[in-house]
Amino acid sequence: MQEPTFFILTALVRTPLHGYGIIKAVEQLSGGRVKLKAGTLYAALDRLAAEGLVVVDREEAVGGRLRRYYVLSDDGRAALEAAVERLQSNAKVAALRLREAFGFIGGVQHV
Amino acid sequence: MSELERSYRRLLRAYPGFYRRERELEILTTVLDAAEPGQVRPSRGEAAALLLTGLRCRFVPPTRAGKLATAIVAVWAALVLSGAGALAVWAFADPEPPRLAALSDDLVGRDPSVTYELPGDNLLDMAYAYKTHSEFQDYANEGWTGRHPAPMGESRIYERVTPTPTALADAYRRVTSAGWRAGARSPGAFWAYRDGVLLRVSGSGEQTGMRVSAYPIEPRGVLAGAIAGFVLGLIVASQAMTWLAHRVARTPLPTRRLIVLLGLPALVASAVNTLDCVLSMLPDPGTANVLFAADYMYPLANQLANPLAAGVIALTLTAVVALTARAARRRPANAAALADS
Repeated sequence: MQEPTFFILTALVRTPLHGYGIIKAVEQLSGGRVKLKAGTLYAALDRLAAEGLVVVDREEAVGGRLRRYYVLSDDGRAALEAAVERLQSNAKVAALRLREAFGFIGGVQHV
Repeated sequence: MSELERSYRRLLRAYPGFYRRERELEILTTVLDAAEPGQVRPSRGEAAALLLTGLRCRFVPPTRAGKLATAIVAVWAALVLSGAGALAVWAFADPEPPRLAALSDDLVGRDPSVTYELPGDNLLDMAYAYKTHSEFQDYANEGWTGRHPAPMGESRIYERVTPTPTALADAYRRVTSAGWRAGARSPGAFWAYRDGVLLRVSGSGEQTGMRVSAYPIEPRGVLAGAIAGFVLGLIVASQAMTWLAHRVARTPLPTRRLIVLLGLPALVASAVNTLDCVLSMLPDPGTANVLFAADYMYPLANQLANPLAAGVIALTLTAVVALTARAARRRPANAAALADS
């Protein structure tokens, strides 16, 4: 799973979000590192929807504009949990080796 | 409509029609939400992302099977269209088979025993069959390094012109002294050119007789026409197949399985036909055949001469489109948005 996709799924964990909402949430969650462009966002959403990880919650048509709200499906939540576990165990393996070799004491938990 | 919105709508045209119908307003809303107040032009990053994703949506099918099918069919369609491009150039150039009669009888000094024609009125028949004629079998060895003939024209056979096997040598002398620019003299035949007419003189009856043939020069620009046709074919066919692949990806699994079953023979037919065309066009190594401009029409000529492949492909595509249309009609409209791919 690539980093933008990971953050999109993370952003959709709590409440349904629309396109711009996702872009803002991803930027905030990644500490300003991942700034999604609309093209990339919708390509990722198409892929996630095709895989059944994300579904449309509702649509709002207001004043000539259309906002679709996306939310994580059960499969999506399971996929994100699996990705988190994978990343955590990968990080633990690397941290262990670094600690043994160089006395690295990383792996601090962010709140 | 603001200037910014107009610019974004222009960029969104990179996306194919079927995608825009469902998503354009949503994507437009998102980019306008994300725009700074007072922004007039899309940022370069946004523009690039929209263009690239849009083109990808247009030309690249969603699934692996779709990619394979698109590649196979698009290459086949492009090849056939390259034949059409070559044909267009030939038809526009419209070369005329030269009048051989007086010229040839003068050269030899008497009337022919036999005359026959390679007709040039049907260009596709010519492209399909010209290699079967004996006059072009040994082309590379006949000493002609000038421009190639268009394989259409008349042939005249003169029997027993000389008592000893010197007919060809005599002819060579006569032709060159009559102002023709002749190629090197090979044992079997030689070629000569004058005023847009390409002459081929070969020996017959163990070199006591002669065969004289005259052809026009092949037109220029046939390869360019073939390349243009190929590129156009790729562009059109890959977009059409991508559109079809998107529709297939949205049909329910049982119909999708049926589509795969139906599609397999058509894909095989496309691939085999493509291979057949390419192998037939290219000169066999180890023979004295050479690639003529006439060969570029072969992929199109092949479809007319062997319509089975094209028929299978056309029928299958029609059936697949019909199946996806039926499945799409069965699904309610909001489910279409949900199952969006």
